[in-house]
Amino acid sequence: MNNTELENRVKDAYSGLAPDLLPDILADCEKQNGTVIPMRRTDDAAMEAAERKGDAAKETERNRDAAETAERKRVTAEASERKKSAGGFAWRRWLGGIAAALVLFVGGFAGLNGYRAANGVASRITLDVNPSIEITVNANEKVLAVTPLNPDAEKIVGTMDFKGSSLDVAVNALIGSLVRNGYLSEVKNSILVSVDAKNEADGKSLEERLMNEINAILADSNIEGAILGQTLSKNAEESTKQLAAEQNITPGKAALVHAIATKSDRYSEEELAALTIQELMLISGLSSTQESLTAFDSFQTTGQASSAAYIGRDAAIKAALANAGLAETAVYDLECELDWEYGRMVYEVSFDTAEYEYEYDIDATTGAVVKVDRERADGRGSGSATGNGTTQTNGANGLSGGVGAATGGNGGSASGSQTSGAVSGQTGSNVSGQTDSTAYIGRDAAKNAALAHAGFTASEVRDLDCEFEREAGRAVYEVDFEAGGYEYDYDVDALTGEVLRFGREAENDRDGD
Amino acid sequence: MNSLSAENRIPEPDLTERLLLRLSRGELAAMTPLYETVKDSVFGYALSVLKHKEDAEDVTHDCFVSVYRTASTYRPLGKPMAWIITIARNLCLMKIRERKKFAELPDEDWQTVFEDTRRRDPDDRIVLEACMKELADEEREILILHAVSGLKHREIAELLGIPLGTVLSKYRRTLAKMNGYLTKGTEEHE
Repeated sequence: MNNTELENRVKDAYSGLAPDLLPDILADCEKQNGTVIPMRRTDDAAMEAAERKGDAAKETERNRDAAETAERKRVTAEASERKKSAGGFAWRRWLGGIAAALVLFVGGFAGLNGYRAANGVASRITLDVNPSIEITVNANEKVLAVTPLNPDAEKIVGTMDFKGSSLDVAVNALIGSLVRNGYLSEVKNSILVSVDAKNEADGKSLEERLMNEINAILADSNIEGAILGQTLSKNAEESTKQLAAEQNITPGKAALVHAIATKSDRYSEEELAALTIQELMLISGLSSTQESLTAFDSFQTTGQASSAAYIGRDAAIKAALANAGLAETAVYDLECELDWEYGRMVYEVSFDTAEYEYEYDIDATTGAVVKVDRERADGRGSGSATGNGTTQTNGANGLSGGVGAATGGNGGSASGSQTSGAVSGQTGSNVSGQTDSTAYIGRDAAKNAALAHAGFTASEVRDLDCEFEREAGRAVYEVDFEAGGYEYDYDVDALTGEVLRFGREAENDRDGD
Repeated sequence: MNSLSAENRIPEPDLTERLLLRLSRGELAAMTPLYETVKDSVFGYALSVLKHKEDAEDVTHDCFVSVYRTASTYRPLGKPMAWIITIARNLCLMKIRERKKFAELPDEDWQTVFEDTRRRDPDDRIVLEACMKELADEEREILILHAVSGLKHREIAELLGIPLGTVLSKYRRTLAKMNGYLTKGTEEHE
């Protein structure tokens, strides 16, 4: 059965399974346009679930709903006092938005004090992810204004109107909107909170409270947040203000950029200003557990900036070693560091052999080799070398990215010394003392094994490719080629040459992107 | 195996996108064709993640209502399904979070989907069981996102926050696994 057939069968198996939910959906949509916001359907379902589970749960659920309804009524009443026309609608959309963003809206969050007019700006809070949003509040922590500071932020704020609501409620809604619009997720988990308060002590406690709150909101969406907080002092340096104006970023972000640029002069403030908070946190090592650096004393952090969107150090090391045609056991002083270069996040992987010193930049998202540098360890400059050595020179010159670009040049000379060790069944023993030798069978042997299994010679196939991969403690060569209208792919055990897995699909079945 | 009939085809992005744009202008009438076009993608995905029929129904319901409410935030870049599924995925994550708060996992009851549908091809049941029981969670998620919801591998990589290469190789291996299971299953039945 080929892949398309299989996909069709899966699609058929999952089709037509849902009962007709359309009438309920339409009913709920109509209500969005109406004047009353009813209990949302998930609340109904939750209540029914609680009933099935027992009285105690039922009781808790009822109390929670009552608190929610009471709060909603109070807020709606306040809203309709102040708003005349379209503003009222904005409130209802916002409430719907909160209910969508939060699993459980606990009544205690919102400011329960009565509305008191106080228009002086007591504190200014900015949230930076890449959208930047500014919130100004008065002395009672009631929101005076919420201002989107860039186009992405406009999407986040949307038509929500927070005037007069409590800061906590506004932050809740904004974080919820960031999550819903995909700016915050499990892998994009970093946010900078900057507080500029008239009273510095107030500012600090506000900052701490906000950090904890945002942490909790994100945790509700299964996100482990990395939250960076700072209190901007009144005497924010002129240079920071100037940087903010020039680069069109918030003073809070400018302060972070300035702190990083001061600490390490690899980056210009301009470059840094364009990065997201997450990227800044990753390259500054701010969120790592190592000792903090003095330039960053003014920042508090909780959580770790996620690098899960990147391929990870192991994969980057693998990519670099594969390109060099070396096994991890054949090199020393292996180092790998996340960094920002050529306009993207890269892993800098460096390692040495007895003969050469290697430096790779591996694209952190795609694993492509962005740059490779090789020097003779004795500083004499690269000359010709046997086997993989020769290949490497060609590879390095012609490199245009993509793991395994160097493999095309693999000459026959490498296989001699490499196959002698491993095929007899040694596992894990390293042939020491030789520069490029390993206990692995080598790419050529792997290709031969795959070709033999498929019944072709190398000259009968197209696009023969071989990549070294280590996963789950096992080292394999992944061999691919095209022949006779089919795409073949093989996994060959790197120590024994055994074919572990193979697949074949018709060429025109391949899914493009 | 039957080839895809017209109703079964994965929805064209143009059509879905046009429906979203109509919804964003408040045209509730566009919800019906949107629902019919997209419901299998959303429900199938939710069921494969939550493994519980009622939870999947809840998520499906909430997803469409949310789509209606936030249609104006959809940017017409030709990826309507990825946008819709993102909403569904977040709702699934929230549902899972809700379950943790109740400190109890509902019994997996996805098999009950077969009870109230019309007479079905028995092959469907075998395939569904293979997906639900034989595959790891992420493998199943990737498979459904591509084969049922019609997301491209690149869109899946972005949605799940994993590299494209990982999606491609996992997908390949998942198909191989399914193939193996289904073939073996056939042999055992003979």
